[in-house]
This record gives sequence, C-alpha cells and structure tokens, in this order.
Amino acid sequence: MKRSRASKIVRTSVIGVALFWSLGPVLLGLLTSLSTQAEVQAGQWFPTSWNLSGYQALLSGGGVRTTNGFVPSEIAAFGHAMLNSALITIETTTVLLVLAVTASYAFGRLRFPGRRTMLGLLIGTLILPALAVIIPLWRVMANLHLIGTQLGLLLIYVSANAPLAVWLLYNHVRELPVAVENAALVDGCTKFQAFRLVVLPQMRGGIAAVAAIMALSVWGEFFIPLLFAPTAATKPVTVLITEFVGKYTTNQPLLAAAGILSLIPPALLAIALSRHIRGLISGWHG
Amino acid sequence: MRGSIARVVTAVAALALVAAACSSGGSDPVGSAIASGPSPSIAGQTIVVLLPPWANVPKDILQTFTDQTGVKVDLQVTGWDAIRNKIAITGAANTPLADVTEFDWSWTGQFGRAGWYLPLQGKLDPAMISGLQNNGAFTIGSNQYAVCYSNDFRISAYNKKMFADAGISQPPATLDELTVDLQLIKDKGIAANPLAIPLSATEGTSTAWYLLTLAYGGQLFDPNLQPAFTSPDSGGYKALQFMVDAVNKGFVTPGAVSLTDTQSDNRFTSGSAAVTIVGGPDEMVTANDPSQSKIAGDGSFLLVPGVSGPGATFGLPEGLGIMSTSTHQAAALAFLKWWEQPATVLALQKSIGLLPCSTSAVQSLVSSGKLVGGDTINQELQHVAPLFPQGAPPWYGDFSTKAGSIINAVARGDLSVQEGVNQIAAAATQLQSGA
Amino acid sequence: MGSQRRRARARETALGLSLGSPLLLVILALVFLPLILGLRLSTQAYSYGIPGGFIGLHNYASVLSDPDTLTAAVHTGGYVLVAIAIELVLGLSFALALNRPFRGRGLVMAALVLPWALPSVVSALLWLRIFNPDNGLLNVLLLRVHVLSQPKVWFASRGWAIVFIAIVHAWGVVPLVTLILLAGLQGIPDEIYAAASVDGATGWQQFRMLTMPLLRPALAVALTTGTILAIAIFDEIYMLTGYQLNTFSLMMQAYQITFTRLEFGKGAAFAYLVTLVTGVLALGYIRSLRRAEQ
Repeated sequence: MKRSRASKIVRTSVIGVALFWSLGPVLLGLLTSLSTQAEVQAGQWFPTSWNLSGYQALLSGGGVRTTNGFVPSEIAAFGHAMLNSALITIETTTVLLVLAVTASYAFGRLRFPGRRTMLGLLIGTLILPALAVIIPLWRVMANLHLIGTQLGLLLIYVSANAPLAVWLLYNHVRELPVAVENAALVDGCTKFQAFRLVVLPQMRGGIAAVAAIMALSVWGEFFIPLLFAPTAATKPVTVLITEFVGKYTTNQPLLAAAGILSLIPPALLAIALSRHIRGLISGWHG
Repeated sequence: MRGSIARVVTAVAALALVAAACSSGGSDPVGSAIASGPSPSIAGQTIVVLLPPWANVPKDILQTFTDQTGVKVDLQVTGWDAIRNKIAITGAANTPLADVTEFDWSWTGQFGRAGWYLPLQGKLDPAMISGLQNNGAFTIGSNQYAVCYSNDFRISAYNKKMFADAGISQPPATLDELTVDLQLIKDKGIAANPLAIPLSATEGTSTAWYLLTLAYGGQLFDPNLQPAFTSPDSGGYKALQFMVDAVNKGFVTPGAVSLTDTQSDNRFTSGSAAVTIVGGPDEMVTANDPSQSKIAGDGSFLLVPGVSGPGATFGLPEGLGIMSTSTHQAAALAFLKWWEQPATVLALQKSIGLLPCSTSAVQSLVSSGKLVGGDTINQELQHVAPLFPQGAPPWYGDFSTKAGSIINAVARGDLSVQEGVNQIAAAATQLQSGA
Repeated sequence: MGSQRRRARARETALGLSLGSPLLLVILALVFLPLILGLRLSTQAYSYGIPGGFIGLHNYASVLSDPDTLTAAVHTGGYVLVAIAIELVLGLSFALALNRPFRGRGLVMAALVLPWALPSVVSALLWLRIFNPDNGLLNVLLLRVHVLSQPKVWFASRGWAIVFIAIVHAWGVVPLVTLILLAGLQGIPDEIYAAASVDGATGWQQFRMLTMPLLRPALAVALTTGTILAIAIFDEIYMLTGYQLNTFSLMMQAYQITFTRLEFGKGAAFAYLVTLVTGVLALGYIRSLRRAEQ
C-alpha cells in the first residue's frame, strides 16, 4: 500500500514535469499569437487585449492587410498547405505501415536466405544524413519526373522513415511470445494466415506507437519538402510557415498563430492513438 | 495510389485546357491583335517562375502578362535561402528547375560564372537597361545575367521624438555628430542604449560593417580585390572601431551580440533605440504602423551619416535571371521585358511595395508623393554605390559569413579590432586563392 | 518427410522475400543509388559550382586537414552529450509514467508530442523570446529572484550557447525518444510481470531485473536515433546564433561547403565522413547493449 502511494506521487510529479517542459514554450507561443507585433517586440508577456488578427488572417484565407496594402497571397494558401500536410502524412503512414509491418514480420519470424543482409541494408540507412544523398537524389527524382509530385514526396518519405519503422517493429516482433503463432501453425494455419490472424493482432500496440512516430515525423518534416515540394500543390505547412518570415520584419503573432494551428492535427492524432496503446495490467509499480 | 489518381486527373484537366486553348485560338482573333503582338512561337507556353515571398506577384498583375503574350506563368514562391539551395542542387545535378528565377546581386560571381544562367546582353532593349539603377551588380565583364526588379539599398532611420526630447533640432549628418547625439540621448536618460546595430554572427552584421566602411569613405577591396581594410586609417578599420566603441560606450545593448538585423531593428520600432543605422527603403512603412510599432509617427529616414556629410551607401538589388536549362527562353525573355514596363513596375510597387529599379519610375513615384519618405529615399539613392564595382566575386557569400562571425567575436571582446580586420583579410585571401 | 520439409522451407523463403523486398527496392532506388552516385561526386573537384574533374581522395584529405572540421566536431560532441543526457533522462521518465493507463493519459500524451510537431522556425522564435538578452523570460526571471545581477547574453559564451542550443534541440526530440521507449515498454508482455509479482519481486526489482533488460532494444533505437539527430544538428543553431565561431556544427560546416562555396564534391566527402563517424557510434551502441544482454 505504502509503496504504491509513493510510486503514485513519483508518477504524478513526473507527469507534472513533463507537462511543464512540453507545454511551457507552447503556451508562450499561444500568448505570442494573441499579442500584437508591437507588444512582442517590447518584450511584453501578456497581451493587453486579445489580438486575433493572426488567426483571422490564416483562417479566413483573405490575407493580411498592412499599411502599404501588401496582401501576401501565400497566407491564403495556409488551409491548402494544412491539407497537403495531412494528405501526405496519411499516405506515407499507411504505405509505410503496410510495408514495414510485413517486412519486420518477415525478418523477425521467417527463415530465408539473405534476411540478415536485407535487414542490415534497411536499418543501416538510418545513419545517413540527408545532405549526403541530396544532390544525387535530386537527379534520380528529376529523371523520374517526380519533383513536386505527391508520389515523389511519398517515395522519399517512405525511404527516409522506413529504417526507423522497421527497426522498431522488428524489435517488437522479436519480443512477442512465439507460442501463440506456433500453436496456430500446429492447427494447420499457413505462415501467412498465422501472421494475419495471430501475429498482427498481437502487434496492435506496437503498430499504434510506430504509426504515431511516423505520422508525427512526416508532419514535422522540413528539409525534404523544402527541396522536393517546390509548388503550392504539394507544399506542406512546415515549409509555408518559413515564408511568413519577411525580408525586413517578421510578423511574429502571425507566425506563432500558424505554429499553434499546425499543432492541432498532431495533438488530435496523439490523443486518438494513445487509446489504442494497450496498457499493462500490472506494471513495474508492483 | 492517390498520386496516380491525381496524375490521371491532371492529365485529363491538361487535355481539356489544351482543347480550350486551341478552340479559343482558332475562333478568337483578339488574342493575336494586341499591340505588342503575341509571338506565335511562345503563345500557349507556360513558364515556371521562382521568386521569394516579397516578390509574390498578385494574380491580376500576372494576368496582364498572359493577356499580352499568351504565355501562362506558374509562379512558385519559396524562401530566399531555399531558392539559392535549389539553384545550387539543380546546377550540380544539371537538371531543370525553373525558367525564370530570383537572381540576387550577391550570386552574380557564383551562378553567372558556373554557366547556370543565360547571358542577357543584346537580348533586351539597351535604353531600358541603361535606365535601371544598380544593373552593374549583375554583370561580369560583358556578360549580364539578370535585370534588376527590386531596388533595395541601405538607409538609416531615427526617432524624431527622442531627438527632440534631447533638445537636438537637426538630425546628424556625420558619424561624429551621431556619436555626440547618441551620448546626449543616453546621458539624458531618454534611451539607455540609443543605437540599434546588429552584432550577431549573421549576414546582417557583415552588412552593417560594409555600410559603415563605405560611410567612412572606404572600400572593402581595391580594384585587384585585395583587402583594403587592415590599416588603422582605412574605412573598414574605422567602421569596426565604431562598432566596438558603440559596445564599450553603451550605445548598443550588450545583447546586440546575439541580435540579428531584424531583431536589432525591433529595438528601434519598440522605442528602445533612437537610431538604426542599417535599414531598408520600406523601413518607415512598418515603423509608422501602430499595429507593428510602438513609435508610430516618430520614425523618420536618415541619410546614412558619413565623414563630412552624408556617407556612401550600397545597393542590394535583386534581379530576374533566365536559367540555361530553360526550354522556354523566348517566353522567359518576354516575361523580363513585361516586368520592366513602367506600368508593371508601378503596379507592383503599389500592390506589394517593390521599389522599382528604373530611375524614371522612382522619380514619378517621388513626385506624385506615393512613396513613404520619398524625398529622403530619393536623396539617398544619389549616394548608392555598388559594394563590388566589378560584380560580386564567387566567394562573396562565404566571405560574408566569415566576416560576420569574426565581427561578432570582436564585439564580444574575444579579438581586438586589429586582430579582427587581420582575420577578415586572411579569410578573404584564403578564399580567393581557393577560387 | 525430407521433401515436405524442403517444400515448406521454399514456401517460407518465397513468403519472406515477397514480404521483405518491396521496401528494400524503394530503399535501393532512393537511398543506395544516390549514395553510390554521391561517392563519385565526392571524388570530383568543384570550385564555386564549376566542375574540375576527378581528384581522387583529395576532397577527403582537405576536409580532414581543415582546422574548422575539428572545431565543428568538438562543438557537435558537446551538443550530442548534452542532448542525449536530457533526452534519455526525460524520455525514460516520461515513458515509464505513461506506460500504465490513467485518466487523461491521452491528453498528457498529446501535450507531450507537441514540441516535436512544432515547426522549427516557430520554436526558434519562441526560444528566442525566452533567451533574448534584453527582455527574455529567462533573464527577467533570474533577475527577479536575484540569481543574476545584470542581464546575461546567453549565446555569447561558448559553453552556455552549446548547452542552450542542445536544450532547444532536445526539446524537439524528447517526444520521439519517449514514444520509442513507450513502444518498447508496450512490447513487454504482462505475463512476465505477473510471474515476477507472484515470485514476490518489488517494483524497483522488477524495473531493474525485467524492464531495463527487456527495454534494451528500444534503448538502442532511442540512443542511436537521438545521436544521429544530434550529430545532424543544424536548424536550431542556424536560427538561434547563425554561423557563429563558437557554435558551428559539423552539418553547418557541410552545408557551408555545399551551398555557400558550392564545392559539391568536398561537401559530399564531408557528409560521408560524418556518416562514417555516426555509423561507428551507432554500431558501438548496438554492440554494447547486445553484450550487456548476454
């Protein structure tokens, strides 16, 4: 009894630290987004009155009017960029999960020649900095006429995120008890049936976690779309936001508002997926 | 999967568009009757144009080009750094990127020499070219790689109210007067750190040093591109000394060593600083806008102070270049000609605030009173000189980065002024020998 | 009997290859092909974008003999150490706290991943508001509680600059490490704990004897990913201090060579050398964790 109360206190305070660490700067962003540019520049923390002009500009799609009549039309593209981000995130996560789950099962549970080499080649690419392959990759993509297309972006994202996905899922498959699968095989299932009916349901928790990791990292991707998604047709919100940085001045409340809005989909995703990460019945707390 | 569906849809849409274009071309003679006359060889083509956010041309203005020539424009807007990176990558990979792109004055040495841009001499109206300010910045030898579309240059600004509060009636014309005025404003407690100047290890800091070098009557390099800023009586040495003095006398905030140019400028618009040395020609638009500035109504342009009167300043013009890999060079050339038409540059100034490079266009803006601070801008334009009369050398970008970090180290007190200028000179020499 | 087994073997091989190869083909085309093309690029001379032909390993030699490379490596080492320490301590604590369901866990998870999803230009803006020497939150607070007597310029000294940049970097990576470790914890079957509980093991014993060993593969992934991301640190430095002499990292140096000097060959050589170091470190982690396992 005593121990569990102590562990509860420890856990509650860890969660408190976690919330402060993660939300502190985000709250600062929220305050910035509700301030005026003049207040931000003067280092004023709490706005005197709530200024919603940044959100209005982004959500109405009408652009922002400044004194010289500048109506940046790229701001009207905010909704479009959010949609681009959402589409490519869903596509990439789906494709990645299908390919990585099957591949991880094959490498983790099946015996066939070359599996170690294949796994090594896949995971080995994790260590490559994007800069090492960027120029030749551009040439490959250009030859395939895939620059600025959704398909091209999808392929690069899949190749960039696959190693981590496979590594995580491979470890996951290896940790799951084999007894159930073996029982299914004894009952006359084929290997593939055993995978589909037994192993896949067992992997649900791990798949949910990896899906979250993949979706979030695709959503936040910056360097790849900066170079390979040059047009409004595929430009994601992370790249669009950098264009709000002006030549002489940056409208900080607008930038912060865009940042806050761009956080909503990943936050919803995290809430949705956390329900599927199956909790343990008896944890390490005893 | 969606990709392929999208491609089918695009293909169908493209077919429909082609069909529509053909039918309208066949039945509608108006399209070919416009004065300038759409060349039959380029009408119907689409050119890709890659520009930074501040050159995001509104659709209705772009439409006038399509009306004139029959050429459609696929305008792609992306960050300035990203444009530079993409040009470099596609140049190295020898693959097409766009037909027309942003061409910054500082890219002339690198991108021109690398052969990635089409030389334009002989292809454009010489009278139009000679009417443009700053155009030498895009030229190496006889090759001209771009035409200027944004007439950017450095100009100073001051806070009228703070100067009046300190009992100063005249804005400073020389750097010595400026020093006296700043001391007065500081002593009277009107501003604790009255000067805004960026000293972080960034491009803006190098720009400030270049500007002060010219203001002190100096040059960065001699005609043979040898460093001309190492002796204590040179402009560059005095400029760096001025920056260090500004730190030691408390004219700038100690935090300036980590402020970039826009952050430093914020000290001016937030009312913490009375003078900002390095600003752009649209500075007063933001400084006098109450939603963006705490000093609305008090900001005013100031001619860059010099030794015995207004000092020299320099231009940072941006141009439009045509890539060598472009397969629509005739249409791209038509786009450049259209952009430089008086009607186009005036429309662009009005809608997105681009200051035209054409001298006559600037004059008409000033005389009609359509330019905020137009008179001072016009006067300052008389003092604008190119930073590199011979065109920016290919190592300019790298030099600028190195200079920024060294000036930052001097401002932090890690190096003396003499050590600083010596290191900058050494960097320049090393970069040149590597080229 | 033998032929039946052989047939089963063949079926398993076919299934394995058909499940494993699609992903590998994508990787071969989009990673290995460019990688090999890039190796060729790294043996070419380029001066400001103008190709100068084959020069063998000269690019590698010139990268290694450049004193800036060593400085960048030292800075990067600092970033890696500070960032990894923060990421592991916070990531492991957060993952353990989130492992068991409780009311509002979904909301806490959502809050936790936000830093990762925030575009880097926005987070740089926010951190600059915190570290701003003039009116930044950190200085204001420290002055108010009299820890400081005058405002401190955080990015002026090498040590503080590296620590603060590493904190900003780690802030964005902790969510990833937390999720990786959480995925690892979720993969540990409940039955093992149930058995341990029956055997009378305390919570701490279970953590030390069961959780940590079983978490090793996930820890290896987290450590490797964290290290790779920290070695590749770029955005945070670029936005917080620019190319400052006392903060520039390996990737900034590689970027500088590639995009400012347009020395594509040398830039490629630099990137490959960084890859080599990363690879050695990653292998080291995996080896040591595997050894600990045995």
